[in-house]
Amino acid sequence: MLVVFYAWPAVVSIYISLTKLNVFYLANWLSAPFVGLGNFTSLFNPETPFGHDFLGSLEAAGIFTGCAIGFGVPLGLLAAVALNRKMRGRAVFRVLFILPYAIPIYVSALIWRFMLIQKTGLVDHIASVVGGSGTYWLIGPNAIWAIVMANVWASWPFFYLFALASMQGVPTEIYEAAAMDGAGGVASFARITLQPLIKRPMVIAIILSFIFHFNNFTTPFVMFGTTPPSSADTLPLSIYLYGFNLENFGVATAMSVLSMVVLMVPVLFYLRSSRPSRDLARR
Amino acid sequence: MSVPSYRWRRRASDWFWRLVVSAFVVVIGVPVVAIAGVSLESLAQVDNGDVLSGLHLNNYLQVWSSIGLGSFLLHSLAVAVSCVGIVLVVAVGMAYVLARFTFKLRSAIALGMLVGQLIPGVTVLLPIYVLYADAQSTLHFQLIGGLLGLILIDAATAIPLAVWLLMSHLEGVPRELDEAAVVDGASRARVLLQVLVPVILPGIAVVGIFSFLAAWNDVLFASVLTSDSTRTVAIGLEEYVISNGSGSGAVLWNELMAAALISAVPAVVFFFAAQRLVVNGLTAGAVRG
Repeated sequence: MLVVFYAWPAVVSIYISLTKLNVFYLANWLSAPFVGLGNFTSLFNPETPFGHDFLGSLEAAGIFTGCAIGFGVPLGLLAAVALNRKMRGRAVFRVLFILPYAIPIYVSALIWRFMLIQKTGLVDHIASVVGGSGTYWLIGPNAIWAIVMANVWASWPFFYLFALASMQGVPTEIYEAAAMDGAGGVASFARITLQPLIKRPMVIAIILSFIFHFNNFTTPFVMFGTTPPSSADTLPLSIYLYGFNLENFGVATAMSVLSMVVLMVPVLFYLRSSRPSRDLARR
Repeated sequence: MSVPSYRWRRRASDWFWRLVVSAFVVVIGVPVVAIAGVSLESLAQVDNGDVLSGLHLNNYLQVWSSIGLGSFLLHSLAVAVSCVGIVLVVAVGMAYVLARFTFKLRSAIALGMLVGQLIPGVTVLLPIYVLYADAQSTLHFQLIGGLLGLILIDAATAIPLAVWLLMSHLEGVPRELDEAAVVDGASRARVLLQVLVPVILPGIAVVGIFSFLAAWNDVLFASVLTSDSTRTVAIGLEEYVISNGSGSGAVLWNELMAAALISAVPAVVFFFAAQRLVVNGLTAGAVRG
């Protein structure tokens, strides 16, 4: 089964990416004309429509992923530090903070699509209190920020979970000793919590979330469907639209091969920094 | 002198952290409460932003007919349950073989499991779609538009993580346990089913829940592989918004949000259950040393 769903498709993918496979040849894909590296060269040429779309969606995916990590990490750390202290109702908050992550992505995307409706949506209501005016979140250049907001809201608890779990492994004696030596709250956070003890788990969390967010198809698709504003047309959505809407499977597969190449970077980092691979090597 | 200032600082930092937690609660809570509120309003209230003029609990009854939530949920349930079944059978078997036998390519296959879970769904879907279309036209057997094709690809993409997790659970079980059973004359299958499976049951539960959630929350595969008569809930709701929302805004947001919340309940419950099992597993492992 794994051969059927992984190895064979991988071979088929690479072959398709070298052809001009479209709907006319779908019933018999082996008969599609062979174009060599033509799909790839046009993807890297911003003058061609394919290249324009590909490079644009690569940029959108980059912003989307960068924001998810750039906002998610500090939020997750802050929340974890707050709930690592003794506090009334801590157990309740610990569960509540996971909620955005537990809600299915398609539901949180629907929620945010509704809240970002121009003027009548909740976000513009709140913005108008502080003097903002109705913004078109769901069309045009702001659309990228719509999916970024939805995604950051839904995904930051991933970092919180990693951070809290590793902070709980830090014995409290260390903090007491540091306080006795005169270290303040900030210093003990930077030197003890952040530095040696939870750095590794956070690095793993960042690598994994890079992969998840770079591949996130659900958020942009549920918010915008098959006609996304170009600013929110991230790479997985763009691949999907080329394949299943324009039925240009050759170009779409070439794009997906390139996206695999981008993803190999964090995957290799992951394999190097996570323990499983070392366990395997030891055997 | 130093004692009161220390106490003051401590109190100030307590308040600071309370403020931080409250800010998080607001940011998490406002969207959820707002949506729950919308799901209880009439459509006129939604348009006016007029929140407090009456509850409309019947939204939760209407969605079954107006959006067709019942059939969506039924399809999602069928897909998710079948997916869990396939994943558990295949993954338990594979994890057993990988954890207990040595053979050529073993570590290559184990590493493949790790990398496999990182491959983008779109990258898997494109060639599978082409192959399904091919198989369909040669074998005259429906894969695109039916539930079977969706179940197979959902299961296939959930298997690598499942094998990986079960493998690490099995490696935590001492070999003496199954060797003793073999000495007593039990077959390999009996060792696996009657000795090992009960021991790693918490791991199996986590794997089952993750596979269920993956299938339940999937939009990508379902958007291509289901047809109007076989929509699962995630893609069904998405399609409802997009097809009605692009025109004059005839989306019944109140009912849609009611439907979305109903469909989120099983996913959230399962997620928290798995969460607890994972944490328990970690602490149990730590105690065992």
